[in-house]
Amino acid sequence: MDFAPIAAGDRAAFEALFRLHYRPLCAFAMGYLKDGDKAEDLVQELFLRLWLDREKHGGVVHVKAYLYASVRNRCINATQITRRLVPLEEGTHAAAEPTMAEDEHQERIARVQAAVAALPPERQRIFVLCKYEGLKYQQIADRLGISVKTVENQMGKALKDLRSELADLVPLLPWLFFLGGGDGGIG
Amino acid sequence: MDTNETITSEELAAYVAGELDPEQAQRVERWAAQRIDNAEELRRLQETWTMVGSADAPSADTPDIDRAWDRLNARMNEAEGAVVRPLWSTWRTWLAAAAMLAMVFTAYRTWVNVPTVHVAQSTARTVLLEDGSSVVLSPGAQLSERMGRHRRVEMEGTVYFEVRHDAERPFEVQADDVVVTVLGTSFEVRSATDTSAFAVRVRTGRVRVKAGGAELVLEAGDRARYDKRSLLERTPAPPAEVWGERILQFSQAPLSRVVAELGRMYQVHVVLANPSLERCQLTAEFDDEPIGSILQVIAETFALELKRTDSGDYELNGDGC
Repeated sequence: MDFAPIAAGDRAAFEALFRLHYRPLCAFAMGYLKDGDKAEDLVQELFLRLWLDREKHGGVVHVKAYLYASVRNRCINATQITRRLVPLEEGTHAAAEPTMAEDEHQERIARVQAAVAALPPERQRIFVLCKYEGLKYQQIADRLGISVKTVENQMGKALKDLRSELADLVPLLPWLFFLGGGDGGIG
Repeated sequence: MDTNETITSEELAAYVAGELDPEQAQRVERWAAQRIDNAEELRRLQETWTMVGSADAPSADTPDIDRAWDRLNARMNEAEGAVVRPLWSTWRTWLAAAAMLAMVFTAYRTWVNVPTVHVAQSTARTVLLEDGSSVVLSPGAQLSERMGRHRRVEMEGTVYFEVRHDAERPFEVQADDVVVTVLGTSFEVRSATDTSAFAVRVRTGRVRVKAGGAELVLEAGDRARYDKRSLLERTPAPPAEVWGERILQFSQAPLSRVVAELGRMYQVHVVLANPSLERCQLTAEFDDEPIGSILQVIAETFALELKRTDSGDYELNGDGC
């Protein structure tokens, strides 16, 4: 999404941006703050500043990357882990900065939570039942009153969504360097 | 080996989720062995699958996007110094309220946290909120409730609350820029956006009032008022109080005051036959009782005689206090 219309004062475009990213960003902030209310407050504050300073943000191209980097920095600030605050450049992705293992781990978890939260509601429900509650496809179908075919289909899409959403994290995992150099992965 | 295996994303997901039988799984593995790209794709899906497992399941309480937007929108208006219109003053807001009501009927009691709107027009209305709390809306009052992880109510006008106790979910009343937080208690909030005047009074329990950066804890019998020019301040309770257009509470109230309140509430005329009766002080509470029995209680309290006059008025007579 392009920020230009918002910088020009288009409130509807801003609302659309908010609605698209609010939940995933809250889930992302939750990964750092472990507190739903604080996470929401932080994301609210970010969007408020973004709107009030919209003219200054006219050049932001990768709006999504910008939002995540901003939330991440605000969370790090909020949790007093200010060892290496990454200065925020427009359009850069803070995840590309070399970070300590601990921060990286935390960010990875936050990113995963955001990616799951960004799935469409129905797909998310099916995925959560499968991955986090350990239900088999048949059990999910029974519980939700849908066909196994639908579960298969939604799971295929969910995993694909997550794979592309989290693509940049896969090669960044430190333990992958061992595996990656070996037999070409688990498969 | 078949060199032309085609595998769908459904099959790949089912493979990493362990849903395939051995034969189907072998088909996926043969596909991965055909080309390095395939192997890489499968590896990435497996890494993704594992990585997703390292995070917590998303909270069941996902943020309510409509409420979140309303909140942001209000802050945007405020920060920009825009004229913040009173809650219900425009046809647009009425339309929104109507739309919300329609949504409540269709999405009633679903996990979608849609506000329910209650309005009292020319007469007072008693409404049972979703959490079991009861409110009385005075004429002209409006209230919208959102009962989720928190119990939240936005209101305008005069509303009397009897809040059901729930220590897990505080009950929050927002009237313009004043917030009243309680666990379970009864109290009344009066807010008029045109004058920015605000008053709260507590009948039972405790409430916390936040306004203009100040905070006050009020207990039963306390009242406070606030307007944008002055600070939030505690004010003394009067001897006679009416709650929810229904409950009459007197605390050492002179009988003259008592009959005036009763007359106003029940649309009757009560005559004190002897002027010395005016000095009698009554401490009592009446909850929606018929006027006849209230007057009977008063008569017994002060050893008076209760009569009905030919014109339908009530008369209290006796030696007085």
